[in-house]
Amino acid sequence: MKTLKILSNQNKLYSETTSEAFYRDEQSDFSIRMVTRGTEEYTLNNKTINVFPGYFLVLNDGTSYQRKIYTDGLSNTFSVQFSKRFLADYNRSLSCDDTALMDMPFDDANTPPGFYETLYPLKNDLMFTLLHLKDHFEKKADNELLLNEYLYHSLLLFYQVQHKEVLINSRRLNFVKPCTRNELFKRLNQVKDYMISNCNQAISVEELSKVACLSECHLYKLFKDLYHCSPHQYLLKIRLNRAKTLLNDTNYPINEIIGMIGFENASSFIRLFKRNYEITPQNYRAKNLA
Amino acid sequence: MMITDGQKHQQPVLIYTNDCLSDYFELKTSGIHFIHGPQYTPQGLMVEFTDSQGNYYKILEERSYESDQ
Repeated sequence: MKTLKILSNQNKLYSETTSEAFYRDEQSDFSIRMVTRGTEEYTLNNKTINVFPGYFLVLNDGTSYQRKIYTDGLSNTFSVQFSKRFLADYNRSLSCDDTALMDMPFDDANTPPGFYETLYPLKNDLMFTLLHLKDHFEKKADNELLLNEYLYHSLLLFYQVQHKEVLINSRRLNFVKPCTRNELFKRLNQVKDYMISNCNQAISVEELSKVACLSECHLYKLFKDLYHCSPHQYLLKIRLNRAKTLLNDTNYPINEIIGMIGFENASSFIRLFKRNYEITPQNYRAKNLA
Repeated sequence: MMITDGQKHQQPVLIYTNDCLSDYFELKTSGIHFIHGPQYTPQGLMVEFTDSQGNYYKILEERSYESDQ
């Protein structure tokens, strides 16, 4: 089932529930794309990114992509797309003072900004806001002012996430030349996206090194600088987080979940889960069901 | 209407909600005066308003936040 709503300011809301879909040669406005159940695969700029619950993908205005859903059960996806004008106007309201905004309230020459097209963590205020927006949208709320209020807050919160995940984090890479820092940050983001997208499979350091086009030792050092942990520890965090989501949102037996998140050994999974969250997976699920 | 010093020190009536933004929007549309727009606090999303008798209310959508690490 697909639902699309185009607001009068050309912002769009889209949700889809299906187990099988394939869309080739798509193009979008600036958009935030999330999955509340299952997974959705995007291919853009010669890379493949899987969106799982707990993350969202950002696409810039004009980006070409293809997306597909092939899952055992149903996948539920939701995206918000901001018109060029809305985004440019929001961006201008942040960068100009009130006098300039009053003197020239409608500046159509203003171009919208571009962002890193990567996976961002979906949690806290942005997650709550998008889930409320999705809920209103699916209940067919037709009050555009209310929907735009949520869209405005979603954008505001996305800017905060982007500020932290990109601007603040990239400063941890200590390079004099901004172009070197930006290039390395981009490559490390590709490594991060690769790990999230393929967390259900065995991932070797050699693979990551190829994704980043960096030697293994260079990658290890830079990754530690940026994320304050090794690639292996980061992958472990992704897998345990994914296990939490699957324990919460599905009825899959724990043994099946262990396979779905790329663990080979049940006892090491249970031990690591308990060490990280101070509760066993069985008790975690029982506690959330109660 | 501005909030007075007396109201500021008055104990607010705390109302819990599941969707603060939606309640804020509905109440604002019906003419309720809000002291400020929705605020993101460590407890969750919150708005504050006063009624015509000067009673002071807070609407809070409690949110449990994950750490940024």
